[in-house]
Amino acid sequence: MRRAEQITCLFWLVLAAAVCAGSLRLNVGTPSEPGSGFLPFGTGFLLGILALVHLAQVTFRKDEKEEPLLGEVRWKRGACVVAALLIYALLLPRLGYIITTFLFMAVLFSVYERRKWWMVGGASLLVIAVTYLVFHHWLKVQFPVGVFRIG
Amino acid sequence: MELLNFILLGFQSALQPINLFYCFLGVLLGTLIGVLPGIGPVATISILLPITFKIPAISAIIMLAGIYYGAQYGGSTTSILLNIPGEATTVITCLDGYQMAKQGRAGPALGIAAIGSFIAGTVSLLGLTFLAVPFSEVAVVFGPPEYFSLMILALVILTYLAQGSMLKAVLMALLGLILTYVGTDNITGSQRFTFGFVELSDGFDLVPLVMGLFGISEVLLNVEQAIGQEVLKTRIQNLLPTRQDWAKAAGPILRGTVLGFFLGILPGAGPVISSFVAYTVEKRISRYPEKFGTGVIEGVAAPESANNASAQGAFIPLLTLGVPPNVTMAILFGALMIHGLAPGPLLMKDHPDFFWGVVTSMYLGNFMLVFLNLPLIPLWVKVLKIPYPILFPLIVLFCVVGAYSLNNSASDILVMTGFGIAGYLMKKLKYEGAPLVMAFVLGPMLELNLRRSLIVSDGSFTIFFTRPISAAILIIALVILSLSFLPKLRRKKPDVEETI
Repeated sequence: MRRAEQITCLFWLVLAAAVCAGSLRLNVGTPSEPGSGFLPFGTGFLLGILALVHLAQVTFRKDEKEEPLLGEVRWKRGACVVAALLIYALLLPRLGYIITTFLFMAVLFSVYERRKWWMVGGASLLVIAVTYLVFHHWLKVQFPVGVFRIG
Repeated sequence: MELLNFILLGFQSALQPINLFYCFLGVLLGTLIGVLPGIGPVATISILLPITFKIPAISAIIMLAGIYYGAQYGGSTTSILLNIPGEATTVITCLDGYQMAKQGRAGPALGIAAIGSFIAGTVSLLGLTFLAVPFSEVAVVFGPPEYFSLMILALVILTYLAQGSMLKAVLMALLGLILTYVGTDNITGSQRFTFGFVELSDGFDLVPLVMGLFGISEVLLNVEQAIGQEVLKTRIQNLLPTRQDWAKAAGPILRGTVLGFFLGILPGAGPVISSFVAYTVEKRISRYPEKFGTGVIEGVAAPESANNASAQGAFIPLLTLGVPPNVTMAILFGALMIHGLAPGPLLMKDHPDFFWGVVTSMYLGNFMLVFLNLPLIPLWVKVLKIPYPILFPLIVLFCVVGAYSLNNSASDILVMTGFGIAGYLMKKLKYEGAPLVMAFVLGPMLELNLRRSLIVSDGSFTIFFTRPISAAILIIALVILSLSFLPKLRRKKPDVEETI
């Protein structure tokens, strides 16, 4: 954890520096005439100071034994969900709601274990039917139809 | 007399069939997600927020409020029957509730939790009804310095009460503020931190942010674990407590209500802290403190009353001062703004039908909840058996559709996924999401009021200390900050899950 926390502190420091630099470009102004960058500069400055304090705390802390950030967790499942979400966002405008959601749900229903294809397909179709009815017909959400013009 | 007219106006509005329907839907959903571990009111309200754009504002807020206070009822079911808190607010109920269930007294435990919640919720609503007008009248005299100080106080209390490191909580609050700077500056109209992306010119939307931080990240954490839960095999009978139970529980319900209500008003405290404080108080004043944790009914009655009273009390600062006291209220604040209603003292004056409609709907919601909860407990037990591998894809799909429907744009799904990954890493590194969201919601007002105050005072920061109300608020904030340097005091805080 110590290494991960140190990396996080570095992230805070980089963010603080970026915010301060961006604020200076925006015009910080004066207290009597605060500009667009006034509060962002103050926030970035404070973030930098606190990140340094935290970095010092983490680095000079004695106690702890090294624990990996992810440990013995089944991180592949989470990675699968994230990948499915990213691909879904990319395919949705192209393939439309029905096809993309069918594939998306089929992947998510199979994240824990492999199931029979007809079960996964049936469950995915049922979910699409219900959500399409509720969101599209009832709540008037405009879903993309994609290149196949389905939906 | 005027108050009576307002209440009648409120009931007139709340009793409209559409509002009754959304109130029922809200409390039903609230109970459901309260029962289900792994999804809380923050995630649910975030997920359903975009859907509410299609319905009238009053119906939307009535439903979202119902989800919030409904979840306080539902959470106790899992605590009592599974020893798994459905919500962070019912963590403490596990101690005695589960023991009661093991002794074959699940019925009275569930019964006193529901009845105590109903009494506390209703009493707290009476407090809200009577205090709303005086609070609004005080808030009318607030100027930019007072509002700035009040928001600083809310952030200070929230970070002080954060689980674990206060420094990390402050860092998250600062990150929340930085996220609000992205987009168009409200005063000068110039673009800030958009890096030339047109999509960023309106800044980040609240919905994908909270959906990612609380909905997707929760899913990512849960799918890592093998979730297997066993419902205690006990017959749930005699839901109504005995006379002896009543005699023991009456005091704790009353004390829990009063404590919960006042802690609910306080920024940053919320239902989690209230339930812990109520339990601790009961244990301290009990004639048999050693029996707490072995299945005493006081250990269920006090925290369950306190968390409900607190949930209802939290609406006072939101609706009358325009300052959300906790993260769920912060999201409701965002919902109000999206619906074109500015929470604060003028809300009651400009939209009395809305204000009192929402308040009175909560009385109706409390009645619905007590009648919904007790007879439906067997159904909730069945719901608990839905396997997570079936449940989580539905949660993810709701998040996706919610994010997309906001602007009919797939890029919002990407933003939500990004915040989901960030939320997941934050939880792994023990950073809390609540200060970030609070700062994100309060950020624009904080900046506006700071800049206005400085312009008025010609650049002098003393304006915050020369105006009495502002000075008093800032002194309280400073006292709380200085308390954080006393490690022993901070260590005494209840070690609970994030206040959601």
